[in-house]
Amino acid sequence: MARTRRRVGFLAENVALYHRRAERLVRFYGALNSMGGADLQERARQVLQMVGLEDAVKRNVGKFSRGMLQRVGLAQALVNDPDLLILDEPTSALDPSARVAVRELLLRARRAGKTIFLSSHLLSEVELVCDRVAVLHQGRLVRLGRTADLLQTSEETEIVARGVAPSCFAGAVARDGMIAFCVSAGAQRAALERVWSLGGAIVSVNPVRRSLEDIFLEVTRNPESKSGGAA
Amino acid sequence: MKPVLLIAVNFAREQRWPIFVLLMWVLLLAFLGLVSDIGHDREDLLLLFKYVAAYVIVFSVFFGGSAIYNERRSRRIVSVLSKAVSRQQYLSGLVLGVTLACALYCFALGITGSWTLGEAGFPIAQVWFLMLSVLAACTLAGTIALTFSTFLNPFFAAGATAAVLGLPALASHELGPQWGYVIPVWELALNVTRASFDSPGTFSWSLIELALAQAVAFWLLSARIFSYVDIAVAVE
Repeated sequence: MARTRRRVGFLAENVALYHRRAERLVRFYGALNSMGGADLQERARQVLQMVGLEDAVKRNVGKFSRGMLQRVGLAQALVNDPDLLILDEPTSALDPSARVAVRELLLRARRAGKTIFLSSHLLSEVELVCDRVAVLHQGRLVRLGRTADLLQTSEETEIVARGVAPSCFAGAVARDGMIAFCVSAGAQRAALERVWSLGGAIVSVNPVRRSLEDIFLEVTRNPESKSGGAA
Repeated sequence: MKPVLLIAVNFAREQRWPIFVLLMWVLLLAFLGLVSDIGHDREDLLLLFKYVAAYVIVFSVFFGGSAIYNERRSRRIVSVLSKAVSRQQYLSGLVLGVTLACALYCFALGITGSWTLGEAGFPIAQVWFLMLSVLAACTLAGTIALTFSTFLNPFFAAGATAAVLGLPALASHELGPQWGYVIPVWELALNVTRASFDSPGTFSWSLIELALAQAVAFWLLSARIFSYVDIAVAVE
């Protein structure tokens, strides 16, 4: 059990830590995982640097801002170089630049072969970091799948054209001198021919890439109809 | 063993202000030792020594009774137990932490008592034996409080501990001295409060051994109960 736990790093939402100097605190958590000596000291400094707290290693955590607490919490989760990272809202209290830094850190960990279990309400973050997504609604799993697959399951196509008026197509919006509208896959050919017949030119034709937010709203508003993919 | 020691030292560190306040009493005893005529005021000094020794037993109940609650309320327990630390080790750390906090106090009181009472004619070896008795009482009282704190808030944990410590004391008074051995905190405290210059007491290890054995039993019980507690649930 203890050997397994040594391979896991955990960051809770609303992280609460002992009021100690940041470096000592991270070393304390590392020591709880049976780390020690110069390796632990070096690793503590390294992870604090990774989360952007290299200038605050000697400062007491009790005086940290919410965002800094979150980062030192992440540092304690990373100190034992875990194979599995379980993170609950790791970027919730961070400013945009810190959020990008943490995201890059997670992407590096992913590239290094670590497994990251990320729980978040910031779906744009999830979209950028996760390979697989599970949507939970009222304690039930309502959607599970690879992020890329989930985001591209729409059967609609977005057509961007120039040289035609927006009024020619239902739902078309003008954008930088062009128009953009969506059609179902079956109506795609007819729409393209209509653009050409009106003297317009096609700029791009792409499958509509939905956001995780769209998917979340879709499955939580009508979970029964979309729960077929749930594991 | 390393996580247990780390948790124990961390616990004692977290309790540094209550320990500091307690140590003020020791300082008071030391101050009186300095300014008073020890030969003349020796009975007063011994009385103060006995009171000050008894306080730490009460504090050990507060230390033990609030340990888990405070950790759960602050949610610090989550990050500790997410490491390679079993719940049994965590509780061991807290028991050791309570003992360590009380040991610091007993050591300071032992040093001061040796100096003040020793100079007044009280056997120094007996001062240290009394401190050992107090420490054993603290360990047992703290462990019982910790056991209750696994499922009660500090107020009720302290009340339940007081009942568990008080009932055998009452029974020993009413029904016979053998009841004092059920939970021997009271008996150990009596060792201290009965000590006098004429009769400083004798070395009796059986009560100390019994108290430590019962502390182990309560620790095992607390570990059993704690294994069922959902620490992720907020305690407010």
